[in-house]
Amino acid sequence: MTGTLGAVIVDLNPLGWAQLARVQKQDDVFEKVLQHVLLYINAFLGLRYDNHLLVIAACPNQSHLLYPAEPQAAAEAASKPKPVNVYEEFHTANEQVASQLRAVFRQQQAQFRAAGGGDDDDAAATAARRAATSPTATAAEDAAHVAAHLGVAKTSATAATSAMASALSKALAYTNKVKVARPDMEIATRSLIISLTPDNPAEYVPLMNCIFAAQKMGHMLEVCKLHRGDTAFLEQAAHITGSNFIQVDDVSRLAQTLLQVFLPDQETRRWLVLPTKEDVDFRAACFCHKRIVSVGFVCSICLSIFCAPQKECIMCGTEYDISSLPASLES
Amino acid sequence: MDLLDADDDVKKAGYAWEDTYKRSWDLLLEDEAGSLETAVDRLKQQLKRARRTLRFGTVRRGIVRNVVLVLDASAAMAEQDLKPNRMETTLKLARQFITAFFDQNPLSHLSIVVTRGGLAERWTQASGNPTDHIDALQSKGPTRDLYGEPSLLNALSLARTILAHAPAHGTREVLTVFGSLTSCDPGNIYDLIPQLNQDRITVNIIGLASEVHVCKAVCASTRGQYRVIMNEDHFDEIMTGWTPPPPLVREDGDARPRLMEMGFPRRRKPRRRPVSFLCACHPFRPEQRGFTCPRCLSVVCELPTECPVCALTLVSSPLLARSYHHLFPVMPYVATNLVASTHSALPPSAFAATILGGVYACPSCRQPFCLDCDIYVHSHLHNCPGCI
Repeated sequence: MTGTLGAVIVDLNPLGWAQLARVQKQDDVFEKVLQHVLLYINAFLGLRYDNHLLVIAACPNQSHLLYPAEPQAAAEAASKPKPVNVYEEFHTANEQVASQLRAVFRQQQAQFRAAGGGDDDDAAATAARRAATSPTATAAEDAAHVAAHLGVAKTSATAATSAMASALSKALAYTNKVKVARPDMEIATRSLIISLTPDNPAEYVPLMNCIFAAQKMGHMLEVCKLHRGDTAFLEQAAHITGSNFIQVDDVSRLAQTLLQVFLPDQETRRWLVLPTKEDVDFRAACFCHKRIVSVGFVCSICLSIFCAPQKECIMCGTEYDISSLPASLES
Repeated sequence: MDLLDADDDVKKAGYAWEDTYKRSWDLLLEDEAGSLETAVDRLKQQLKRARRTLRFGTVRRGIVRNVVLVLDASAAMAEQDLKPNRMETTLKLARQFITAFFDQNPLSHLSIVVTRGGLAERWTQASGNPTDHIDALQSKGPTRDLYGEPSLLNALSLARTILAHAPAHGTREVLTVFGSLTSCDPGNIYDLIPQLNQDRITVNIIGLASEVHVCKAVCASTRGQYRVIMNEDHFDEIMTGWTPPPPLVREDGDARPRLMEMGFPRRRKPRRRPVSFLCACHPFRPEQRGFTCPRCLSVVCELPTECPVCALTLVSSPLLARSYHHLFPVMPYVATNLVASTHSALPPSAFAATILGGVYACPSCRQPFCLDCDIYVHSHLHNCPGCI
């Protein structure tokens, strides 16, 4: 048995949370989810004395490392009086994680409102209504539609999604540094992604790079999904790193899922039969239009994927053998 | 004539012992405490970084490779200058190579050929499954049946027949580990070279003893590389150098590039358990789960494969994505004059907060990184955490 370095990556996309609030019919859904996440964090820290925690927030265009705090902030927090009857680590983690997550979340909401120039609640309500009435429309389309409606068409693709690859890169670089700095210390590592938004196809390559880096390191990428959007890449992440992918429909049961599925360490999991998603979506994103495709055209030189046939590869500049192209392009 | 020219080039470059004398100890300077540790650490860091920077550069690479790995299993391989002996070391490195090869070159095929007693023998068929090859090395390797002389001609002829069936859009390479200084051939090897060139096969050879003219000639005229090892680490380094996809250098219509139509299926499980069904590829084998072809919706049981109904190539996206870091390399970080000696010396987002040593910055996002992160980002992660 070894300790675990557990990263918790929380998606703080304001659009995602607004939609979740409508779907769950709870206005304070962020606070509720936060309580469940803190419960999980406490359980994780309490499970073993050498468990270490890392909290990262994934926002629409960037990610923030929230815990462990920067040295100055940590020193400041340590100088404050602490309650005597609470385990110190619980107290610092609770205080810092909660306050940081709230602060970043409010900042994101404010930014979103400023960019939209209007009240996003109305737009989110429309999106939620549409989601309820037409089950075929995906949350992604709705979100993009809402963003476009608000006049933020330029950032519509990124506004509806979060910088998951950036958050994962930070988690992996941090994990690697911990491992390199203490080569004598055996430590298992994993990341739990709490996903609120669908995949951003533009992040396909960086996200896949993260997945392979995690796989090489034996780092599990666990996914707890709270929305109904498309997450082909996160499904692949969980599948490739041999961990669990769970969709939680009812937020009030989040704590149970977190504690039951995502708490046990890697060694214990071998003896448990845990639920996971058996269907895995192996689709890829094309390089030309950043669409997720199920049938694509692949360059034989660089293996770039395109959604439609073309004469020349836009990635490596190769001109294709005329005879191999479909008749429509030959002329 | 080509061969003579190649010889001249080498002579112009001069021998190592003709070079000006380098006083390597002048680089080592004592620090204030009179210790050499700082200087040695700095040299180590430079070495680590140098190894990486060499590989950087955007060039067209052939990612779909068809490779024949030729291993010498002659009596010369029982030589103990590498520990425990040449063959054991070669087998160990070959296993590492095969794992790394399939990791970096998806959709590639490899085949193993050994040569001993004047003959060449095929150990594995060309296949894209690393376990096949590693199993073969493990089951056939330790017999230590090393005898006779190798035959370069026979091995290359066999490799040529194997590669003749390879599709036109991939590279065709022969990677050879040659321990012997002699080759027992049934004919003239120079007659084979034009044929190899005609089939656009590149021959690379690693020599374990000393330089052999015929090996050098074969490599030079097929645009391959001939390297002679200095020690085991060097052997490892050259072998590892074979893993990334090679830049396309043969201008004579190297590989004929093609646009391949491919499908990315979903893995499906029947809704009710336990239900078995038949897949389209193995008609008499019940399956529990399968992949649905996105074009014709028939079910196959394994990837990568070709859909037996509509002939669409089915692959999983991770298989292709393994090679994408070659297309989008991370810019090499530049060394800054900051030194991470204290926490407060660095901006809060620095990844270099706890490690002493040089600080490197990404040229596009200007974020500082420590050496460990620098190496990790460029060798494993392939994403700059500051840029994305």
